[in-house]
Amino acid sequence: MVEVGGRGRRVWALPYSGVPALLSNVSIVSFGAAVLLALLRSPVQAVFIALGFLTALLSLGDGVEVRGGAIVLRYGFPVTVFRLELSDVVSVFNVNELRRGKLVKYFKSQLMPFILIVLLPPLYTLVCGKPANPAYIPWIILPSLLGLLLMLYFTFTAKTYRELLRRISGAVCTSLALLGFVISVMYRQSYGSSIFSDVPSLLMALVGLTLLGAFSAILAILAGKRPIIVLEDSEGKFYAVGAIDGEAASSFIKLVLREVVSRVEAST
Amino acid sequence: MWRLPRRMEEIALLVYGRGRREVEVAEELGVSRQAVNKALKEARGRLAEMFLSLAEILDADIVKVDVKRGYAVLRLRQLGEKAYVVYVPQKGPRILFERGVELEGGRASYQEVVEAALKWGLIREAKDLGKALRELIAMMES
Repeated sequence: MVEVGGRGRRVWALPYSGVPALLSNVSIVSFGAAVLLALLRSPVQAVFIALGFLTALLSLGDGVEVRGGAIVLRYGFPVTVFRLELSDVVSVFNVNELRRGKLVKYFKSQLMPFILIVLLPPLYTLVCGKPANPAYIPWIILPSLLGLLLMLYFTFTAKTYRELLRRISGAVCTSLALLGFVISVMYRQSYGSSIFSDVPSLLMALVGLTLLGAFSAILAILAGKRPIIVLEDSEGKFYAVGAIDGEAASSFIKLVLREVVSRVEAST
Repeated sequence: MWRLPRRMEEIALLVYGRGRREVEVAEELGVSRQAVNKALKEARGRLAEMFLSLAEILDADIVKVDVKRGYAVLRLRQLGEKAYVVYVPQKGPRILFERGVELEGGRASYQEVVEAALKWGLIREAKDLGKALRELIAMMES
């Protein structure tokens, strides 16, 4: 058994296929729902948070190993819970390096949770009405924004996505400042006093706005930078592996091809 | 090393290029299904070896390899540009350099690559050479 990349992990499994993909989808939707349930002060919120954490840990991509000519993707933290074994790789590529490489082509089911969390806030508003306290607005927008950014990440090529983020980053910062202003005006209209006189509401709004900015920034920094390698097996199933940089991606692709060669040599 | 045995190539093109079932090909060629399966596996291994060796020779990173459809996309480390490799039956791998295709897309020497791409099922038609090359590269880049 060979651990790819050794101790300082340079490649890792991504939960885009099989059971890990399903669990990762459940995790995303659970967290999205938990944010909105928190606004309703529903006790069910704790269940969703626990479910979100549990499924996230179970589906967390761990290392990649080469064992007996097969590529094994490991999932789960702190211990490996799932192993996906690819014995017959017929195609391998760095999707970020391809001019027309879009993740959605290979992992369509991954769009489902993103669409769901984009739709959750409008559904919430439809069912529960506008929030009584405008300080909750950033929290309602949060799942939609994240879902939208993730959807774009899957449907755009890495280059286009990076370009898009570069162009809209200024607009997002301006929108956040504007949103802060709108919240303070709405608060005054609702309660007849300044939001600065209500510390809990002020904190709620500030934390919400900070999270909106932080998540957008994290996605902007990470997305499209880390190469994603897609592997196809002889049954036409696709799997994904993340790499720390282009060099690691290239080494991994070569390693996979060497395994294809050695597997054939061993069988003949 | 740079060419597949004729029989192996024929089987690979029938199954992967034309989408025929292994059992049909076995019947047509008068061999067992296991023999067809073994030939396909070996063809994939040999193509992987070819593309790996080419990447070493050209000092290139491998961007994409599809051993089922006989092609690879490389990025040349020195020049930073891409090279598209297509396995041409009975001739071996042929390389199209990114800039070369842009500048000389209509050159007759690309004909064999386009014909090979047709056999592998990478493109649908090859009436217009320039158009076929663009379609081939777009497919390899997706």
